[in-house]
Amino acid sequence: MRATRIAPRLAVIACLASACTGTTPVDSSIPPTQLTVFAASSLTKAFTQIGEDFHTVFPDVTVTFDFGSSTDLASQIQSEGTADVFASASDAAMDTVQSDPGVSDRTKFATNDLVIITPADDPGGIGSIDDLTKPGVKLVLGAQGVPVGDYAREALKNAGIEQEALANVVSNEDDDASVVGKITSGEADAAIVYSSDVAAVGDTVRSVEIPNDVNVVAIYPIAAVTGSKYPDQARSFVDYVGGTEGQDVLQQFGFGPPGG
Amino acid sequence: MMALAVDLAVTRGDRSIEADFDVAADETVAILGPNGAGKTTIVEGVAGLVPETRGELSLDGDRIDGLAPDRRPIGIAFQDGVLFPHLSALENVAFPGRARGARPRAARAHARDVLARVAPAVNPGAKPAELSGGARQRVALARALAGDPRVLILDEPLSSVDVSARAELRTLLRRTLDAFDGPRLLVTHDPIEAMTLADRIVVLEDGRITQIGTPGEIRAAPRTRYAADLVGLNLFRGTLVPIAGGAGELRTPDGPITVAWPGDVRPAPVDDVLATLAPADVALHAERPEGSPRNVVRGVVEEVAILGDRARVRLHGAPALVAEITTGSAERMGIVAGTEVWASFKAVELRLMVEPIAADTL
Amino acid sequence: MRSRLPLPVVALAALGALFVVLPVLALFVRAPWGQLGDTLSGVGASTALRLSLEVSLGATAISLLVGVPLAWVLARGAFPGRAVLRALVVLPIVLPPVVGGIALLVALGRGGIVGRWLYDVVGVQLTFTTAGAVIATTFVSMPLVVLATESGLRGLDERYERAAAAMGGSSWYVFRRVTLPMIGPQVAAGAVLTWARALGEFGATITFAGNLAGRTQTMPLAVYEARQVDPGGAILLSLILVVLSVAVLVTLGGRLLGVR
Repeated sequence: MRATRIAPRLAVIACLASACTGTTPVDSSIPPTQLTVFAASSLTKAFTQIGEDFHTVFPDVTVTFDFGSSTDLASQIQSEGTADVFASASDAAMDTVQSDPGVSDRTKFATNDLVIITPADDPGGIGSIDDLTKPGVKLVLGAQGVPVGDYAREALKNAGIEQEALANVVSNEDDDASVVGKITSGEADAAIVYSSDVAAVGDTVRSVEIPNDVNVVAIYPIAAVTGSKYPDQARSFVDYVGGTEGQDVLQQFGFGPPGG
Repeated sequence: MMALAVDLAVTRGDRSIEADFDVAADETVAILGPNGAGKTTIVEGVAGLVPETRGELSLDGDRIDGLAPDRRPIGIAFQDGVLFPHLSALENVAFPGRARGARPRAARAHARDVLARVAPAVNPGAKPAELSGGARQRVALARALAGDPRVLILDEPLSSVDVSARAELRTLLRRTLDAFDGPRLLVTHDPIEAMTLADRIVVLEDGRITQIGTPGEIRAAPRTRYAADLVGLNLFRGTLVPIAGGAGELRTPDGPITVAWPGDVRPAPVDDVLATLAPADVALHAERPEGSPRNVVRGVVEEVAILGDRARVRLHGAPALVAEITTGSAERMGIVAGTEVWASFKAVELRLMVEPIAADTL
Repeated sequence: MRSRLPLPVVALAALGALFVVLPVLALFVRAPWGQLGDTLSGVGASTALRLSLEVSLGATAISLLVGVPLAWVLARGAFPGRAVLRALVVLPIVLPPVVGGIALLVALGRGGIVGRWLYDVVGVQLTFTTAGAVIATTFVSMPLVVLATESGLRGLDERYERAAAAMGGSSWYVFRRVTLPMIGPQVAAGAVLTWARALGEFGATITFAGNLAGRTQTMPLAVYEARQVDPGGAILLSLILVVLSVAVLVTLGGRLLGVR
């Protein structure tokens, strides 16, 4: 009987004790924290791996992710401000967060270029980027305002086929995962997504290269968000992503190095 | 000759109801019994509405028990009417016609005729909710007739009608039943209804027929306690004639009976009037009584039935009577079969069934 | 004499009302009213609105046509597995709409069980079409018609239908002239609820039919896409939807839902 009355009080004391310890320099004696990272959905598989690796190195830090379209995440950070780190698929989205509430340690950490994907059995007969203009082809893109959608339209414009290709669009999705989904389910004939998305789904889709002179290289910036409760841990994470281990994982998952 | 032959059994759970009787083309048969006896179940079985019904049903020699209810040439007026609440009185009455494929205009015209005959005071456009209980029963009756059925079934037609409207409705029912060309079935728990409207009575108790006979036969020889209680009424039939002093005389085959003249009837002779008299209102005397009671009858005791502290005495006389007195009185007067007694009853104790004729109509 | 409501009941009711009304009021307060003219006259808004009405009314009509007989069979039929069938019919209400969309893809998509035959033999693909949007919407909202109608049928005194049969009505005639009119109010209430649900449908539609302006982008999808590009416009579009729904519910719904 007495034990049950003591236990809650002990727990309260333990909590207060841990809260009293202040922040210390980056090392394995960092107090337990939960780091919230907002990342573009194209980074899902790569960053989930990085998060686990980071936790192995820093056992007291658990990383939780919120994946979504970069533009969406940027406005969420502005209205709710619950992110410690933001990794975006476009400079534009990062610029938004930089203006309000502000960022620190902004660095480019990866690049990604675009590729055309089709279902494994290629129902649309897509051999090159020009085949996207064939009448009756069902093309799926990201919506305008979503980085992968804007990049795709840029690439189509570079290839001089924007009008004809856009006429074949049957759906504008809100993030690249949904775009890929329309191909893996076999519903659409072709889509334009990031190279990293192909690495994630492997054999279930077939890819068609986009010529380098037409392709768009997406530059991925990462930064610690101003106002975070764990600025040191946030900076550690940013550094980790830019470091050897982080870069290895990113390349494993199909991303290009930040230099281009 | 069109006749209805009923030989049905219904089993529901642990209850079973069996009925085997015939209805001739020119007769009204009443199914009479206490509440819960199964009367409604049987007639709804005849109409084809009870899926658990087994047995045979024939009309005019043809088997109809295999037919779906909408195929049977039966018109039925339900207890509480069951008029369709979203349709006007006219549309309700036109329903059977239209359901069987008649053109809407023809069906409505026919419905208007039937309504005018049976429920002249009802506004054809009124919805059932706007009508009184008696009016609803009339519309239900009209609806049952409108389909030109070969068999007419009335289920407790007076039970949902308040007492003041009952007399008028009963008269309408008599007229309608007599005028109908085909077998008629009437369900009731009221012995007065059965005795006055039916040619023969089927007594149904607890799911079984206990007796079939004319009102007279049942009155003469009730086979169960229930039947005996039923016929504890005296029934007279005759021509009603006004006499001096605001009184009337009911001229029956057995002799005249003095009655009180009903207030809502014009003082003129009326044929075919029925009157009932409760046995408890019949007093017995050893000697001829003096004094106010207007009707005095000399009779011979046919039978004395002791029911607890009450004795039911059947008298042979002009007219024949059943009197109910205390057992004590019966013993004191030494009343046994064969005893000669005097019976008396007051004019006002007789309940008359006359078609009321309003003063300003002819 | 008005009945007195106990104070705790009134307090809780006020809380409930506030909970529901506050977000809608917030929309009104934050809406960029200066943009209203542009948003309203923009092709996107009117197209999405027209499509929303088409799809929601189409879904309601199909729901009634198929749902009322289904409700009749469930209420009056007697066959093995009736309880299972009822559970399956109601399932779409309980399922997350996206799950419903995925299920529809597996069944009716180009590679789906039935969809494959439709595509190969009949040459019809339902995904990415307005018809597909109607199908997805009907799938999630039909249960409401079935539930309302079944409830009405259960409350209907069977004596009326028996009387109608005795009067010479065949089963179809009785259904048409007695049963349906007598459950009219309940069916109508079900239709209003179905239409309201159909108007707001999002998850199943975007998963099965995709998102393309003029073909499958109903108002909810337009609002979702607008969030990326034009958050103020998203609020205005949301308000249009709110005003439309409230207008219809107030004029029709009150009467049909039995409130006189």
